[in-house]
Amino acid sequence: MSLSSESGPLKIVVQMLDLQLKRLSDIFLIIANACLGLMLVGTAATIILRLFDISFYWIWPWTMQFFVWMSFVGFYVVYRKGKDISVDFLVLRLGPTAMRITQIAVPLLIIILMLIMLAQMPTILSSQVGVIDGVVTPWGELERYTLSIPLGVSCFLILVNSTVTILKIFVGIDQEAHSNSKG
Amino acid sequence: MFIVLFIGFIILILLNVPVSMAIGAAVLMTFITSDFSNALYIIPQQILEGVNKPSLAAVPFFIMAGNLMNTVGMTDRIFRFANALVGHFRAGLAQVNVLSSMIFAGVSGAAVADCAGLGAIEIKAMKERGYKAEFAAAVTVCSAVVGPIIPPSIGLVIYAFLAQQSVERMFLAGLVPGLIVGASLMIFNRILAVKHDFPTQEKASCAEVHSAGIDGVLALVAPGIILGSILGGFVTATEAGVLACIYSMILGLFYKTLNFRNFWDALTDTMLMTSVIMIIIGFSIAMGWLLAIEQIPQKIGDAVFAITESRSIFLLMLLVFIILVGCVVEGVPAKLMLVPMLLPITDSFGIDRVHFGIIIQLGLLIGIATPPMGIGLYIMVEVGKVPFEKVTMAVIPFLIPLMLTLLLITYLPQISLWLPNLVLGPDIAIFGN
Repeated sequence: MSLSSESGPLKIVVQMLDLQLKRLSDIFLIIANACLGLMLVGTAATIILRLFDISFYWIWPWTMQFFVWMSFVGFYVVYRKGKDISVDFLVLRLGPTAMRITQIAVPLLIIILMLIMLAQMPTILSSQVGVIDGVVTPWGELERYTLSIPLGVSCFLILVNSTVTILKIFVGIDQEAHSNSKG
Repeated sequence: MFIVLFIGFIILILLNVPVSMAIGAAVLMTFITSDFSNALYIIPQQILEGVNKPSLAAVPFFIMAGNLMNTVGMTDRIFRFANALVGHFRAGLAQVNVLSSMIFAGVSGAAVADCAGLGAIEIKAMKERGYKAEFAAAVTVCSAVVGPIIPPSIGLVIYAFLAQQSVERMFLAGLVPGLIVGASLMIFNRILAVKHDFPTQEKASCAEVHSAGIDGVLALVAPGIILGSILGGFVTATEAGVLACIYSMILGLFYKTLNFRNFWDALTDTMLMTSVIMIIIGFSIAMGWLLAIEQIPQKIGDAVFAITESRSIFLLMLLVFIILVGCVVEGVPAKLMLVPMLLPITDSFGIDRVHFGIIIQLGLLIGIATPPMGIGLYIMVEVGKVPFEKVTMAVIPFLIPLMLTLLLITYLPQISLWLPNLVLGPDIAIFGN
């Protein structure tokens, strides 16, 4: 199935794209971990400050904001690093042809799913009007749509990543993603 | 619709589609084949609704507590203490394995952390003492079942959210069943030890038990601090998770085992696992919305009532169904799919929601030790370097005590309900008929 001999430039483009997607995954990992760290710090501060009868109303709303962001930003990292749970025992038993088919069919299915998700994003964003109570910044409270932006971005990156996964098979670049059996 | 959803999901899983994507695709297929094919925006909308739930914010912290315990070496200390205490029993290290998991369960909320962290220490020690690797792996994966029943438990937090129960009540309900599961495994180990003449070791002296106790005391009191702080009303479930994390970090600094690198790794593992769970929850909420709109649970309930009106027979059918689902679907997505569908039916049969929560939790947990989706088995293949088939075969006998305990817990609701009713008072909420 490899087209590597007649697609040299395509191979270089795919490799470059793949590298950029990996870099983005590293950045997203830092952002998601930072969100988790801030959730930890915020909740710990709430417990400690309670001992002194001090409380800040914005800590919990921000904790939830970070929780949602962490989950959605982490969605791309999970996919890129192949950390989702998947079972390959049946495909392995069905032989190399079945393996080859699923290597293309699975990202194809994910592309369709992500395309449909992304197609709904304008409706979702336009319906999320108003501010989130307590999520204060120096410029005012954050708008509700800020919650779902990371979901849209992750869906887009997963879409691109799945496309690159298929291209990698066609240009003959070894598969690394999704070789895990159980995450 | 139910067939499209459920069969579609299982087929996708078997075709190596990652779980979160499989559930997403199954939900999408169900929407497309329903009357809501023009309202696909409901899917991302419900994902957002599902993730943005304050009661689920405890999930990452109970995952992180387990990861940090492994990172800072608390698991080693728990293991050494359990070894000094019960290591001299027949099948000593197998008993140590179960006891360690029970103590570990008091801080961690995930079976995976038990299998991967404590399991590595336990299997190594058992192999060195002459136990077969597959036996060591089988004891480890089955004892990990205790983890998400003894509080704190991520599974029970998720169930409490789905069934509109208090997390505190669910945690208390899990305590006695968790101890019974542990005891049943220890009794079974004893029976196997007599039959197969397993290796024994010398009884630890009082000084050795004392020394191991002193060495591990800070790790051993952690479960009491966490559970006590929730039940005493000092902290919420989310704050208790944070407390567990901070306590583990302080111990890590005290033992000089915590550094930025392993803290970052614990943070990363936690974030990745939480993201998977939350995306699965998000898609499942969309699915639950559709099921509710189409009145699928009511239709299933009518079908069940047509078969039997006996509560005992229904419970038996329920158990078989849950165990079969647990074999092919991982615990969290299985719970997310089943609970919204089954709750109206269990309500109709007058089954207490707290009791049902413990039944479904244990029933699905057994799935971590059964193929093809037994996540514990796969971890054992990695950690214990044992072939999948060998671990699977070695696990089969251990399913006997687990199944018997499940039956006991199912048909004697007081096992689950006694403690929460004693501490929090009877739950007066009435659902369904």
